[in-house]
Amino acid sequence: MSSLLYLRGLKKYYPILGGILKRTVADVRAVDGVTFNIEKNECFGLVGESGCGKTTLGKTIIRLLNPNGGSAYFKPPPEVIEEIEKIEKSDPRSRRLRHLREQYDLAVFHGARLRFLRRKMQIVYQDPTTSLDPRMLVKDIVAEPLVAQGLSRGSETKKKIVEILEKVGLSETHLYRYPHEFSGGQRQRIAVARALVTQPEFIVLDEPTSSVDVSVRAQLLNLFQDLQKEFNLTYMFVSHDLSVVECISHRVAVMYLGKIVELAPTEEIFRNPLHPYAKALFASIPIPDPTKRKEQPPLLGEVPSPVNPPPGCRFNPRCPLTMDVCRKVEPKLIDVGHSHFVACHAVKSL
Amino acid sequence: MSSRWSEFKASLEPKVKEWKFMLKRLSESPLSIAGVAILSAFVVIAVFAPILAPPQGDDPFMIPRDWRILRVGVLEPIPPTQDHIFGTIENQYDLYYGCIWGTITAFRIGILVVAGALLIGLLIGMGAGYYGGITGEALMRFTDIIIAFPGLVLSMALTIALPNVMQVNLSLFICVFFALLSLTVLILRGNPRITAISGALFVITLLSYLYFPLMVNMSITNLDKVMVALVLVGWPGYARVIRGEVLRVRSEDYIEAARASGCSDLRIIMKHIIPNSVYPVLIMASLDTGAIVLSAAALSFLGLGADQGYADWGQIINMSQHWIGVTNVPLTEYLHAFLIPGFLIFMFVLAWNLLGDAVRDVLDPMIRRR
Amino acid sequence: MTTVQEEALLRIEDLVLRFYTYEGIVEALDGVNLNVLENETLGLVGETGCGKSVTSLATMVVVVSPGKIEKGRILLKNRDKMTNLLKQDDAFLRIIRGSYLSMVFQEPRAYLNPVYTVRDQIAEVLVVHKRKELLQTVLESLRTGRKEEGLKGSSFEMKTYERMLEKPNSFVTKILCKVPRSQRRLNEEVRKEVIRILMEMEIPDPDRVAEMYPHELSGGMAQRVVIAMALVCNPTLLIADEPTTNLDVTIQAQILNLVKRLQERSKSSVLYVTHDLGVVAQICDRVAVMYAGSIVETANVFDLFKKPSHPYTKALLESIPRPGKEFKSIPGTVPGLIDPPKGCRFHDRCAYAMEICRKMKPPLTEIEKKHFVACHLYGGKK
Repeated sequence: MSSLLYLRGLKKYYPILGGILKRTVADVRAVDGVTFNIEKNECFGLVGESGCGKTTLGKTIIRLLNPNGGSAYFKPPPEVIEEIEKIEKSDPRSRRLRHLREQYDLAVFHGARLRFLRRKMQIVYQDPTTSLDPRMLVKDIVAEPLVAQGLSRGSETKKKIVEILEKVGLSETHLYRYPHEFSGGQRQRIAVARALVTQPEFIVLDEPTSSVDVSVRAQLLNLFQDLQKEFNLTYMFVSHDLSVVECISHRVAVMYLGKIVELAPTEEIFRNPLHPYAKALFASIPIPDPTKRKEQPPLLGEVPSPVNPPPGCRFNPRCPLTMDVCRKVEPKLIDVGHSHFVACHAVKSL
Repeated sequence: MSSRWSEFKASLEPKVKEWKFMLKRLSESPLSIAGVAILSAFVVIAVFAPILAPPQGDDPFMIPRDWRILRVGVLEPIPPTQDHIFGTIENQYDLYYGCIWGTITAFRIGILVVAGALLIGLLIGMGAGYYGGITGEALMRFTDIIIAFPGLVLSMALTIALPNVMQVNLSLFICVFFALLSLTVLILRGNPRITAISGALFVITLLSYLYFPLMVNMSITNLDKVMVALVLVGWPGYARVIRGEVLRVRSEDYIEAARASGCSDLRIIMKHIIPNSVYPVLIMASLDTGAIVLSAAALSFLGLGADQGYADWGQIINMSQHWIGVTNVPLTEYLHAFLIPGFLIFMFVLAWNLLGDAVRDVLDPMIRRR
Repeated sequence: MTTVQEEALLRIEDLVLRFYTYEGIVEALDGVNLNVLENETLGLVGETGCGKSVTSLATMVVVVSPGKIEKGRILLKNRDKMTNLLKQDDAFLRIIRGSYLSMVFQEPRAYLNPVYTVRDQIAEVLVVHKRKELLQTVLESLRTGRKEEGLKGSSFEMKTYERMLEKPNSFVTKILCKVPRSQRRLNEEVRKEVIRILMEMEIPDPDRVAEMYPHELSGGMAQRVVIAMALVCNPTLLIADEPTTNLDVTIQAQILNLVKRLQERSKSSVLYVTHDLGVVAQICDRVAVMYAGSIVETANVFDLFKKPSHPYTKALLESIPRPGKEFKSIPGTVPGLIDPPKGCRFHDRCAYAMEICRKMKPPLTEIEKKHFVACHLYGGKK
């Protein structure tokens, strides 16, 4: 399977300004060196709690935010990936690497190439009430990407919009209405239609079902799956709702304080989570079965802020398996078999 | 062709529904109905002014004088008679005529000044809000400086300072305008076609300036000076409000979504930010119109407004101020001279204030409903 | 409607609530029947718009206009007598709100005053409700202190406190209270109580947290503070309106565990309103399912998950996403409550709808011991 996206050490920091001259005194390290790839046509789940950086990562990938470091290669052929890995180890400053980055690294795209990228990568937000302009009619909202990019005009636009609306389960009668006249689930469909209208290849779904009712959630999830099959889409499904991620994703990555701590195929990771944080996270989901109650909360303490992450492994203050090395050295993401990657010293030594 | 028309009609439909909803809300508050009624009465008077008070002479805004009485040597205001329905004011200007045509002047002052202040405030506030950073800070500090001056004092100073006759180099003006336009469009990375066209126009006007400088002598009446002064004093309020709204709207999700869809900055500003941030400013504008007319009347009262004999309520009161506390004359002798125009100003400002309140009552829940 | 429950702490009978809005009359609650027993956690489950938050607000009688309670009774057990809260005056309600009956809301930081520290806010609740007990405690300690020193009579301080206890509303008392030195011991007593309740909420380093402002607190911490405010006077009934919906899942697990433990320890009751069936399964003893303004099923939590009887409950449980299985959703949408469907409000989405469902609203009937369903499928059974 070819990779749609190959991230290497992607970083996104938010500067904290202080003092009269507003200098950068510290950085909020929202995304601090993330490396993984997303295959074509897969649904990649990204889970974590608030402040872990998953939304920031999604927005950085599609260049709504500009990365501070690292690269994100878009549709690199497998040979190129190999070459990049080799060059980075041997000679990170080579001209060949720079040339490859100009070709494939969307972190350095600008101008016309960046505008072209916007067609291929889209995002669906969490709250459909605030992500749709309340003063625009539905037809203008859905047509906007086409009009802004100059992709079609006049009656052709209208045909395309109606086509897309029907694909997401709405109809032509909904064109001339304002968003506030619709229910939450329908608004989310309008947002999906807007994302689909430029025929993208990659869509970041940022908690798309968190703001809607349970009964509507299933409808939306069915819609996402159908659209993925029909349009050959690749998803990045960002969520804190682990049960939904378990059902829709092919692979899942767990993020903590800006770093990926575990990455594995869905079934594998939910059946056998290895990283202590992932274990505690999955154990914390309230299961809708009263016979399976937990006596103790799986994880104590607060989620720390990403401003001053602890040295070494970021999870060490709350980790039940903390060793000495955890306080000094940051663990790397390593393959422990079955495409299961974990970043933990305790697991490595097993 | 017919499909376009039906499409146009269909896209109007939801907007019509919104308007209907607004009007229904408006009709339920008696104060707003009162405000609208009074204002409509003034509009009717203004529209039918040529019929209600036929102009005599070439400038309809100069109040006709009663020469017969003047020849006799009577200069004081005369209470209402059959010839003069409202009576006359000092120097025998017909009060009725002045009041009727004064309505048009009042509307002119109110609407033009508010429109001007709104436009400038919009540009500056929008720029400061959207771009932020040093530009935004600089613009806002400049706004603060203007606000720091007491309004009435500053407008008086500006009225006096502005020249009565200006020699305007028209082609230079147009030249600069096109230069600014192309610069703005370039900065906002908008449509390259528009940039090219305005750039070309700039070059053409520049050349024409060098070859044929176009001088135009513009004479500015005192009333125009008052209006310009009020615009220059009034825009900071709008700038501040707009900037606040733009800051709020800028951080909304749909702006980011528009950027993800590939919209340029110009498009985001025109299609997303302006329609969503303009409501509080509209409310402010409707409330402000009454205040502006009042300020203009105050300036006229102080002698800085229109020339003597111009049909302007403030000017009429200015001429009548000597007759307010005159002793050894029956009380009702000169009352009409200042009470009637004063009452008209009062009602006009009241109508605009009621309308502004009504607009705010209607728009607030609509904003919140979204 | 239901059989008489001797141990019922709260009984809501046939509550009808309407909102008179511009768009029309919203029939928010259409005859709600709910019982909260002593020493239990009752879960109130439903989707957005079903009326569960409105029910919890109505129980505290804090319904704001344009809402009006049209019919029904809200009976609260008060010293072995059931009092109808709707018929009580403001003074009585003010006494029981916060001390007997308290509430925790969804967004903790919205319900904390941003300009007061945590200590001040918890102290406010204490001062309003437990003034007498605090004063007595202070007086006791002062009296024993004086006895140890061998002095007789009362000091100026003691006289002030005694006066505050006996004549709290007199003019002199009010002036005396303004003297800061006279309030010192009382304030210390209050401070001790605040630290005690913060420790009970398992907040680490309570001295430091007590001096913090709400914006300095994380979501989980803020929610613990709000719960502390609600529990500081040991209420008999705590109403929790989706308190963990906005929190991270690990923090949610901690808070759920805390609430359950506190409820069991103090033998009070909790009415837990939520839309998450997982949460319900974790901490509730009994569950009431709500749809479009009325209760459709009430049962013991094990019975509800094993044998859901109402079609809505069944559909709700089926729509929980399970890996490997297809996503099942409930067809249609939640009805707008301005012009609700006649008869049973679920009939247009129900797979088992019959003719009678369109015409008549089914009453809540007991189909098994302590398992109530409002559905015509079970009519006539007892």
